[in-house]
Amino acid sequence: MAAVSFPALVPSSRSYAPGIFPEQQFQSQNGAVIRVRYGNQRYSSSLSLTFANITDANAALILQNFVDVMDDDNYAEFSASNVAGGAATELVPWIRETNSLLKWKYASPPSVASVKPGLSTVTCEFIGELEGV
Amino acid sequence: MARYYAGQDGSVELGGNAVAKVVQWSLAANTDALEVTTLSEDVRAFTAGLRTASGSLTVLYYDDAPVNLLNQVNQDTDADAAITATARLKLKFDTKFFEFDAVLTGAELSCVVGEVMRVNVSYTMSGDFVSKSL
Repeated sequence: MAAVSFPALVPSSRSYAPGIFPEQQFQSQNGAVIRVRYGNQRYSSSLSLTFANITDANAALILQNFVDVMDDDNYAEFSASNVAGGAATELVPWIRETNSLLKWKYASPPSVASVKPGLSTVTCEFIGELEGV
Repeated sequence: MARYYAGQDGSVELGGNAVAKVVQWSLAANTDALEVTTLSEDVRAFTAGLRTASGSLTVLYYDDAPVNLLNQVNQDTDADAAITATARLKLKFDTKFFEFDAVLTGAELSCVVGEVMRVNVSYTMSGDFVSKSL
């Protein structure tokens, strides 16, 4: 498993969710809840990115990154200056998932919408998966 | 003193033929602004998108009324076999001009007491300018 660097592109919109912890809930008839925790690592974090009106050449870089990540057991690696660009220092480790054991994989293929000749809008969906635990 | 242009310099051609009794023509050209702002920027940034142009012209409805203009708006091919989906318009002022293909999107006839009956025709340019001289 190897890290594949994401292209040097800053998104125009970004949405992040930290995922959940592995647990099962049991609710008794009086409403009391018991949680059985199966691990102390969160999983299935998600990251949605939109790159609005970027050049077709940059859109192709994202598509190539998708292939490079998903054609083998690799994961996407973000930096503070690309995908996490514009985020405060405290938030960057969350977006990059450097504060967890999660690795970013593509949850679905990138979607490329052509806007005009030479310009496209690309949307990407990532999911954070636990690796090597 | 620099030459100036006034309404008396204006004229319109439809399909190469002069349109009579034109009172007014206007042309508004626009370019879409596509936002390219990223999350690391504090100020919105844009790039040029698609270009469009549209406008209108007003013609007095005399005996030599612009019937072909109205037929073009209504796409009345029974009345005029030469009518196509787009019309070639040439908006002129003195020796300067804009020439382009356009879809004539509307015609508004008004008959008002004390005024000469007039037709206001609106259009949207299709494609780029065929030629222009400014």
